[in-house]
Amino acid sequence: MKRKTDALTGGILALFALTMLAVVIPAQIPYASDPSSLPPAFMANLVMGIVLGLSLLLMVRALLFGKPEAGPVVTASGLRWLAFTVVSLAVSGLLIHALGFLWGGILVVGGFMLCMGLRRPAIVLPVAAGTAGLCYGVLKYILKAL
Amino acid sequence: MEHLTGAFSDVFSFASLFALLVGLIVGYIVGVLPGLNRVTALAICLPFTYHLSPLAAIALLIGISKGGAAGGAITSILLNAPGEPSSAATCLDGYPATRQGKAKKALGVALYAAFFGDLFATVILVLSAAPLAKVALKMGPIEICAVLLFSLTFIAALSGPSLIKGLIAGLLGLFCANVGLDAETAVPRLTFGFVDLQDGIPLLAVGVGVLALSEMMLQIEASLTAPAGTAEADAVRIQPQDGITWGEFKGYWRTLVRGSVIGTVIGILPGLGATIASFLSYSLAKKASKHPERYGQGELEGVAAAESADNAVTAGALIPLFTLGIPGSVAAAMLIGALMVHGVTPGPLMFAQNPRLIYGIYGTILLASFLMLPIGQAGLKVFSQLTRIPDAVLCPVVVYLCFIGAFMEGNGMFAVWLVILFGVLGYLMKKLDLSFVTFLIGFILGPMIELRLRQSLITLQGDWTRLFQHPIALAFLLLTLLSIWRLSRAGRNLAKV
Repeated sequence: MKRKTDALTGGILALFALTMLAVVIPAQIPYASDPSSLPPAFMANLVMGIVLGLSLLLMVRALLFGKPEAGPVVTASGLRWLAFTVVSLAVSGLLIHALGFLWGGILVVGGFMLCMGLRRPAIVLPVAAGTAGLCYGVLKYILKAL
Repeated sequence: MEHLTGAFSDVFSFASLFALLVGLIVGYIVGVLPGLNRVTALAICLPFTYHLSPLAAIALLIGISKGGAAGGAITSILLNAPGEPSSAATCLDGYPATRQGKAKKALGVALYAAFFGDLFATVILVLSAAPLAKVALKMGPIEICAVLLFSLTFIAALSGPSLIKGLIAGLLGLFCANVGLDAETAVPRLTFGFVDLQDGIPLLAVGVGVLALSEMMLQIEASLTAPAGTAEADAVRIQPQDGITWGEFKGYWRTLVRGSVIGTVIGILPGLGATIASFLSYSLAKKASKHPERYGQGELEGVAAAESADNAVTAGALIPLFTLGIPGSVAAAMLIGALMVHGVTPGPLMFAQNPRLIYGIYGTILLASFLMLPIGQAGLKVFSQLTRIPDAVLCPVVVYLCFIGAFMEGNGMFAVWLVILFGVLGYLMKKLDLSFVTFLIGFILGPMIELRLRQSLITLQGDWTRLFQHPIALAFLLLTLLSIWRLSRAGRNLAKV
């Protein structure tokens, strides 16, 4: 058990559970007044209540028994990679939404290959075009899903 | 009898046979490639099953599962790099055997041991599932609720070093399963105004996002942060040499039976997984051997022990799936998705409602076991060359396939955005050591647990002493508490080491 990492994880999860219990669940799950059945929010409240308890337990145990870690929990490179993941996936989604699976797909596959350091056009172009073209063809003409 | 004959014609129909062959080949390829695993392949291929018949869909997924289990041994033996985590035990003797020029023998032993273990567990599945399903049908909602809670807790406890984190992950999965219309009152829950969410979050979005897409982002990150000059292993050419003989192979029969039993039992227990089975079988084979000092030096019996157990888990995990509707593994969880898409609810009622499908699935699983042999033999040289494919080609293609699969399932961009959301969530979970396996199983079991819990509370009518009238439920609840206590202590001891 890592002291700082697990304490932070527990804290974030506890905050998430509290937000769910106090704000999101009451706003998103209307109360249905049927005495013969359990309220619709029963399961959500039960689960989030247990998550809150477990998160606080995780935080306390990490602080009391966790092994100290050298260095910060949240590093610049960690945040950079998280940002890369979120941004690259969001951009991929936007490209496919805007350009469709064929042209958007070519750009997505080609873009990721370039990000990973593959710069040879003789590989990037055929792989990107071939993958997107093949999948597009199968979807549109064989499975008729597009 | 008509169900049997109908099932026979279903199994040998072109669609089912073709799907099975494609699944086995894809499974082998995925098993060989260290950057991919069969769970990722199952998640990606799940949407393609929507356009197939129920049996063809199952055939495809079974093929991937079995092919992946067997294919993982190839790189373990040739390159000391397990294609699947469960093939790590095969490296211990497989790679030293290659260094001694016995690669072909080792690959032969791995293939035949995989076949043996797989066939053994399949026979156990066929013989035991129906009787166990009859027992399961006698269980009421309180008993089933207790079994489900025990399963989820057991899986959570074994998913990683922290029991608390495992439980939290499972509960988060349960929470995500709440999204959609309430079964009793039809009130929308946590839909945030999106009509697309009224049917709940699609399993595919969760599966592909958490399993496949997040894994690819981690692979991309690992590839870009690898130290400069890290050489990629070249595929080893398999030199002409003698393969394993029948006389040599039959000498391993005790090890094969032991490994197959271990794999089957561990497959039945949810959450343990093939990795534990293969290492346990290897350890016991070494202990029972007259020459334990040979293990780790290229002893082919070690390869047989690991592979027979590894492959027996695949069929063993289907036993709780068919009898109780509880997935014994993530691969079994994906099968639930495929069955439910085709309107089949896995569980004990399957035997009464869909006997033809059940017999068809048995036939497909048995056929897959036999087809593994020629595909493994024929594809050996080809599959070993696949290790040359760089991550920079593989990962982007898989990412794109994730988007395609999501779009096919949801028939629109909403599902793609959901996959991206769960991809990011899966990435964060892996970084924070929150078990994505438990999350996924909690998500799949969520509706079942909620239904049974509601039924149980209505049955008990607020009087908890009525629980004593249900000894099976009480036993499983006590087992749940016991496993939490024992496994949390085991986790603490492990942390001190």
